[in-house]
Amino acid sequence: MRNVVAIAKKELNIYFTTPIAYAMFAVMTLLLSYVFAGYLNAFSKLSLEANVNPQIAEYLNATDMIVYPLVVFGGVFVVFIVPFLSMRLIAEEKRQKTFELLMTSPLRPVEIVLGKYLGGVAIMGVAVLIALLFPAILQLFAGSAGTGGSGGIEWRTTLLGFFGLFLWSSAAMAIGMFVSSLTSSQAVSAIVSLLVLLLMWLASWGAMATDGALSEVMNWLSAQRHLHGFARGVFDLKDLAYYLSWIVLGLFLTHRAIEAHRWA
Amino acid sequence: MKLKYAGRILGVLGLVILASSTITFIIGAPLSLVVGKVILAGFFFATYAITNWGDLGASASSRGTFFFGVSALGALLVVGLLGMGNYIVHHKPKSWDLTKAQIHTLSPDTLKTLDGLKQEVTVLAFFGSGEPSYEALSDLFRRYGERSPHFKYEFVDPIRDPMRVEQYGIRDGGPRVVVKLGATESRFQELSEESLTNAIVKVTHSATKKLYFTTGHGEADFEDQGPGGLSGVVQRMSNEGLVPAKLNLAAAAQIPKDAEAIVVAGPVKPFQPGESDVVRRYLEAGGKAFLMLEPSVESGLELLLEDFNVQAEDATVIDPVSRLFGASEAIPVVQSYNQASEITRDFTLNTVFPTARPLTVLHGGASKAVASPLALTMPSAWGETDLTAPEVKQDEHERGGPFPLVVTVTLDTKDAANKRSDEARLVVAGDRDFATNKFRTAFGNEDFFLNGLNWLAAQTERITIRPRLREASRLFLSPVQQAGIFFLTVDILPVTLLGLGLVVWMVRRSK
Repeated sequence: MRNVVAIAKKELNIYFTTPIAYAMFAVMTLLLSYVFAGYLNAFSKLSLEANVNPQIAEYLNATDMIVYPLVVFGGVFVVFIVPFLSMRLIAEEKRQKTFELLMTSPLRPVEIVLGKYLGGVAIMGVAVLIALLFPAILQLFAGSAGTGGSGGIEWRTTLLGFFGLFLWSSAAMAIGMFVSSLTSSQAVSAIVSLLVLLLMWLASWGAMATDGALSEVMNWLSAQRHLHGFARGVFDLKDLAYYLSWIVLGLFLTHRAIEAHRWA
Repeated sequence: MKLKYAGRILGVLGLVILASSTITFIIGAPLSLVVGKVILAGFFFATYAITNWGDLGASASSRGTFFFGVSALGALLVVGLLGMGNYIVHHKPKSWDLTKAQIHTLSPDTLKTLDGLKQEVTVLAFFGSGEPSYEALSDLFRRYGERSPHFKYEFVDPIRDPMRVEQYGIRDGGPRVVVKLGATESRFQELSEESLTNAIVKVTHSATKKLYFTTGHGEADFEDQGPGGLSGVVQRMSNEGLVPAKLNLAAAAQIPKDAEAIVVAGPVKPFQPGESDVVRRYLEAGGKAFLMLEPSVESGLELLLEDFNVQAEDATVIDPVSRLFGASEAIPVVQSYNQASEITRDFTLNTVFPTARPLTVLHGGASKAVASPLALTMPSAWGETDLTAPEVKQDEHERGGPFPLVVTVTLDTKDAANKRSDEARLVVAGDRDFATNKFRTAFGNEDFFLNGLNWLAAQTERITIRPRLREASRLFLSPVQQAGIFFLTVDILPVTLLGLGLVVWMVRRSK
């Protein structure tokens, strides 16, 4: 376990002492802020409209109309950013020829895999925490700015949504790490991971185009569908099992890929 | 050597084709195309294997291949176990609704209804997956399905499956969800938990109910498949568990005991006093009736109706605006309904009543019956009393619209002797043509008629489920606040993070 933590720390150290993490955070907040500001504007416009049209007032809710789309957009962002964070996890070691060093060290492959993975997940954890600033800002203003009802947003739903976002980034990181373990080229790793994650995200399109059992399978495959559940405020074992499965599978395959070097 | 090289190129091409076939699959191309690509990839792999047989053989015997085999087996095992785990949670679902108002939890009434299901109920929803209501509806169905193994549902894309749209007679603007149990069905339009649960209650409770159609006065016949017959609506009626039967009042001293309601489909010869008395006694004991009257016909029921606070005027409705809808001016179009009535709640379709008779709701008589208008003509309509005049126009003494074309009446019969129910219900329409084969498919005519019959034949009270919504919240931001939020999120936050990165980078570089 100590070894795992040591490797994770080393990975985090690399992320935070190079501009890569900050650049990612900056791009993320910039994109999210545009989405956030857009939905916020729309919501406050609707709030005004509700004065003349009380029928819509009943359906207005900041959690549904601002936080929900924010979480879903965060899911899209994961698809595009995780490949660039995961690409170097193992491929970089291979390119710099430090991989052999790692393999001859007293570290077990399991420790290498877990350590590197934890480092990658931690950085996404920080990203999700930063993204949580948006609902916090909303709460700050919504709480004071004369809201009907309780004021502000529903924190349980919001936190569950962001937890779902974290699970999705963890699953994406596990898949990205596996792809990274297959190649020594970071570019190839990033592109292939991006393709895989994109397919996972868009599998629900396939569900729309098919019907019957096939459509059900595609819906199950779709990372998007499972994130919707969390974002709506429902904690469903199915959604949890989906993301955990990808994490376990990604870690197992990475482990086998690293072991393979001993045998090749 | 050259052959070997070509084989390798084919092998790589095979890999690319195999990978791209997943995309082909996801974008929803025909399955044959996907299978074709996979077969082509297989062919390329085979070519590769044959041309490079020597190399393959050498690596197959190495330790690496043994390891690869073990890993592949292990991976299969892990995938199998994970698949099993996912399958189990899919079929034994468990979820927790963490929202404050429990908006994703079914109401106790719905749960009780679902738990009581003994036979399979199938729901057909005529919605394409791109429509805005699709997501919410499929989520609702999913929750019902998770509760009861007898609840099955299917989405039918109206664009991809026009055959079934035709088969079920689904129309734009009409109800698009059909709940079926065996041959019985119920439809609803407003997409809500309340409608769905009530539809299930209806199909499970509707032991077939009998509706008696009076005969002997030239009424429209439900066996007549011609334009003036009622065979079309009766077909839909039977689907909803309402069975038609004939009743000759001249031969019957009273309405049969098993009558859920009677239908008088526009008599052209008057009811004899004895016959109308049978109807009166039936209604006063809590009976239900749908009465349709035609203009310029004495039905013999006028006195009876007046006792129930409805007066049928001797005139024909003329509405010039109907021409805008492509109809003749003697076919008034109705757009205004009583939203408080169960029959027309959420009913938004137009209806047409060819050659109709204006009705009046009476007040202040001795009768305790409560009459209220159900469908009103447009303001442009009037009741023409002289159709023989060379020019049809509204004369001074002729009544102008809007006036009722259909009226509902209820009468409390809790204290009646030999009562059939606690409340008599009556639907009076100043027209019979709207339900006939010729006009039933016009606009919402058929749905309107069936809603009326369903109201009469309703045994169970409708379950009311208040939709659960999140607590409503509103947000009024001053321009200053708005600018503040924008500044904070779009400007400060990303720039700070970017600055932090730059600083770290420069500090590291200078070391």
